Amino acid sequence: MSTPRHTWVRALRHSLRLQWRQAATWTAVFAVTGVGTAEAFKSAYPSAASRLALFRSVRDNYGLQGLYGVARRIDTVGGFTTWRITWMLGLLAGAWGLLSSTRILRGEEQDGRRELVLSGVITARGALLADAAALAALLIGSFVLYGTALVAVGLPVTGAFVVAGGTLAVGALFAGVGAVTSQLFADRRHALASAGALLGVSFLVRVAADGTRTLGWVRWITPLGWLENTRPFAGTNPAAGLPLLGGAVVFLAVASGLVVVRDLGSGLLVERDRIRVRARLLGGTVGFTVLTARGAVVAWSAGIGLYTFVLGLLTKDVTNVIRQQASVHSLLGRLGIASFTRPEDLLGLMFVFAALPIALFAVSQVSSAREEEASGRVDAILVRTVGRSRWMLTRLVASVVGVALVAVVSGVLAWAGAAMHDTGVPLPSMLTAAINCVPAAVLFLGVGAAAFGIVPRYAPGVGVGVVVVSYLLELVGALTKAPGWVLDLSAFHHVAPSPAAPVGVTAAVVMTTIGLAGVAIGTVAFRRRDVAAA
Amino acid sequence: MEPVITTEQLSKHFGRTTALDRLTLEVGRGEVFGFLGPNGAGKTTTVRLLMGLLKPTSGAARVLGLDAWEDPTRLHARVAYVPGEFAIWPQLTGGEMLELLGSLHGSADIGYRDELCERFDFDPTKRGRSYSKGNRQKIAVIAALMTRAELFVCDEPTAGLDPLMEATFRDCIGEARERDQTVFLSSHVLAEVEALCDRIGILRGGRLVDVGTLAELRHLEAHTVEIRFQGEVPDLSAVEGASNISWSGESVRLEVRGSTAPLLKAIAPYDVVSLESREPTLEEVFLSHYGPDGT
Repeated sequence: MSTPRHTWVRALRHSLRLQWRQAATWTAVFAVTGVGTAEAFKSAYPSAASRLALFRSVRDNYGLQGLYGVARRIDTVGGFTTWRITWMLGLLAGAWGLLSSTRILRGEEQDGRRELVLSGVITARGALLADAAALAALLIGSFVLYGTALVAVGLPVTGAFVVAGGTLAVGALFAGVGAVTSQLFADRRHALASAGALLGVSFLVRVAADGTRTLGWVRWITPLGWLENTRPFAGTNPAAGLPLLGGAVVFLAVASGLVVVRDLGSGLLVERDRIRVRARLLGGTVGFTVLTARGAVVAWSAGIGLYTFVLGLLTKDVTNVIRQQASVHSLLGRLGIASFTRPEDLLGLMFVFAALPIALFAVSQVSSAREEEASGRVDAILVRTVGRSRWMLTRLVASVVGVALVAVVSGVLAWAGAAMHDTGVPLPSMLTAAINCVPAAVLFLGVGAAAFGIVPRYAPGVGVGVVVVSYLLELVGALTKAPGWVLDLSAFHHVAPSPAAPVGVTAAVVMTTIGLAGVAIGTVAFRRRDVAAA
Repeated sequence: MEPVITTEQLSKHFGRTTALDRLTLEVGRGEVFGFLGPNGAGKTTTVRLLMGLLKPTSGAARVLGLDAWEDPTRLHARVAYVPGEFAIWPQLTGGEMLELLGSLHGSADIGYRDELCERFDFDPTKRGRSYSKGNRQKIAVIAALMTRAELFVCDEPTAGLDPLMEATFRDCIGEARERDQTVFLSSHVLAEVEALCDRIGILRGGRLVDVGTLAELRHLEAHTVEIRFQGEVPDLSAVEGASNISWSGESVRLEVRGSTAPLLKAIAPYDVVSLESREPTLEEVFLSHYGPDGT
């Protein structure tokens, strides 16, 4: 029996309810980043001459283009804005797509809620298509709002909607990828990790295409390259983005074909029910925390390390070109990219981009603590001889160690990438740069921990929200010359561009102290409140 | 009798909802105490207060001489808890969960654990997510029993278990009682409570409405009496404690509250063929507390 229309619409509305908050957050990030960058460009490069000089200076810099993408018409507001942010927003849109689809299509099933929906008059395929339609509607809404925001800041309409459409189409494509991996794996984390790996590879291939003289053609095999090939504001070619939408439809069709040939609750790739017992890590709170956290540390290290490795690889190219053109670094200085002539300068600047995901990793640890509580699993631990303070402090200490590990891995990989091109940046200074990102992450961890203690149900949102707002403040505030006290509110503003500049010891100490205070507040508050299930 | 659980005017509010209203209760050592009540009566809230998972709004729960909220870890070393719904770690095997929970509790009898796995027909080598609801519940039951704690606090422990496993659970609780372990058993399963419990508390709308042994609770309820006469059938409506009288031919059926002596005196002059008196079942006791006319 097929799904009656009204049931399907009901399922669609249910799915919208589950997804709209995330959609609103992502959309805000896109719009604020776009508007802020465009405004910053206008004030930093007011004259046509200065814009043309900027364009000339970047045109032959393959290293910089490897990071950002090919610089097309960056002497215009639209061209510059697109170039400066789309590489990142495309990645973020992809992340949104695969996070949402694996959460709805696998997470809900794993938690046992899917079967409640499917016990209604709706087929598995009908439910999957309802979820897909809901996400599609949200992506379209986000596209309209992001495009409108770009138009509002003065960008030409066609280009604005092409860049917005291309960016969100990447989201649709990776939502499709997530929909397929959700059919393959019974565990949401595996579905997420495999889809995420594909996004990482897409990024790497795009970097290879843009960062070299000879590999330009491989831009055609990566979704992020298709996005770039739409060339908003520079001979717009929206058709280049059609494979993104086509791919999304194909993946969705595959997923809807697979969903009806598998059992509810299982994946097509059957994982073994029986595994070797890991008794070593089950002897107490510490071992168990290690057992549950190590997967996340590996995954985040891989993702962030990939970025810093690419960064290291490209550093020499970028700085060589800049050194040859004496006039360039002052131009780039106005870009919000500090003036640089040494590889360290570029690495220091770009490592601030690594501080963001490292901070997100920190707050994700608060979310997973909350998840442990919401699911009721923490009850089984707390009714034994593990006190609440010990449980929470063990987790938080493990999170800090995890943050440090993720940072060190990213530093080592940045160094390794640089060393492959004999860039001459010593390992200790890259490690310093990496560790330099830790205090801000500890601060966010503390904020999240305090929220966990005081308002547990909102802790995941507070954690991510504070990180995102801080980041936008720093990104947009710095470019638009906002007053100093506004910038001071952002923790990222206090992350010194190490290794280009020395670590700001005072700032690091203050941030760490605030973080530890948050941890203390959260731990005391948790001790004084009810254990709160979902 | 040395008290193991003492609550004094224990109350818990969630926002404006009163989940538990001034509960005063005592459970003695070696006792199996049954805690009955319909959904939403406050049974789980009570259990979670006893385990220190919730903070009392007022009053206090003392368990094994320790304040449940102020001193949970010292208390937990001597208590085992079976939740009604056990949230598993999907990535761990059953055996790994038992290992983990045992080491977190601090003491577990490994031999007894293996025996329990055998008796509950539980395969500990499979991954958590592949267990059925009943098998998940077995992990919680085994993890509690294997500690041989002084006190078991159970919240609907047999939810999801099949009748055979329910019987095994009853055996284990019976053995625990013989070893002088105390059991606080919150349950819906009246047969389970009737079979196991020395004393019973009945909760309704967050309030303890009755507490006592099954015999004491029955005492307050009406007995059903059926009498068959030969010849004249007397009018028994004036008998003290009698109600709900119905006639059918030479038979009379009525309910008697309190002593049956006045009834026996009233029927003595007549020719009684048979007399059958039946004690109320726990179900009748239970329903009389919650039925439309229950108070």
